[in-house]
Amino acid sequence: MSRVFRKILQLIGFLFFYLKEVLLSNIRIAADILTPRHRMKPGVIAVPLENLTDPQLLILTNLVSMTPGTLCLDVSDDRKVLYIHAMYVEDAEQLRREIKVGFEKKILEVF
Amino acid sequence: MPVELTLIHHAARVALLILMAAMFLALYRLVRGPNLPDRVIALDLIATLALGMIVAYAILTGQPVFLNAAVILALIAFLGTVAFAKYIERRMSE
Amino acid sequence: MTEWISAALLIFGALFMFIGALGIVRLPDFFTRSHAAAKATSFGALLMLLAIALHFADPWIIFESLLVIAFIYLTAPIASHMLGRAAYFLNLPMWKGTHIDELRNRYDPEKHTLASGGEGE
Repeated sequence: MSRVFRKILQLIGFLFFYLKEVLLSNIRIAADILTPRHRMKPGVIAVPLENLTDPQLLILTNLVSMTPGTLCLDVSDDRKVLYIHAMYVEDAEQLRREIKVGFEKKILEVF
Repeated sequence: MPVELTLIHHAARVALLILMAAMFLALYRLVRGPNLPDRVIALDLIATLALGMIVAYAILTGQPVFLNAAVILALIAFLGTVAFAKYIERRMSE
Repeated sequence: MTEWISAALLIFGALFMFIGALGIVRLPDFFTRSHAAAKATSFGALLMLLAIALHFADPWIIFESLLVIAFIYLTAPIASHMLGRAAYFLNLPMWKGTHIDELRNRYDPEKHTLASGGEGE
């Protein structure tokens, strides 16, 4: 019983995390659009993936697309790499790490 | 119908005006858009703007039934975008 | 009080949609434009649908608007993914500031498959 309860708490926590990311992302994108364009530094980078199930992959791609500055383009056919387009690629390695630690680990914990 | 306009009706009117301005911007991209995907994105945006207009109009007239039209519009817009994307991809391989 | 909140949600929703439209016009290439279309406009729709749910405060209306919000948030990334894929097959030019592209040439133009491209390549 307590396991079910904990799962529900985790899900609610994840929902709030998602909403927070959506809010942040929209403030960022509004700032991007309203300021001059030369500050952008777009790029397409590949992010390696762990073995994710279908729902986990859906949630990860959804989260990446709706969060600040990144947009999913495609997943390779063997599901090992996620290709994303990002508005600000100062450091590709750091962006990869952010997605792996910030999102992927969290999703593997909750779902 | 409301006898006197309250705050929310004025807000709905302002929202409709903003959405109309946005609609012109989207139309500009639809006409100008250098490539087909740009136009499809503009079309998708126009559908979302129309959804917003329906919501504002439902509040303005006090008729919640209009929300059903918004549901249908969201469905159709997504299907249209997916169909366009598939079409663009297939046309390339010919 | 609820009237003020739902009026504010309505105006802010319309403003976010306007910002999305402005982004579609102002941003330099297809991929950055699709950022604006996927995020700003769905957030605008979310705020406006919350406004209508709050305004009528009827269980069915609340359910229906939450349903539309969920649908929009599920489908917006899918639509942008499919269009982005199509744009790659069209070889759309990217903005000159795009300085890194790890997806270029990974698609198979005939079979439409996508390689993961290991370290050995």
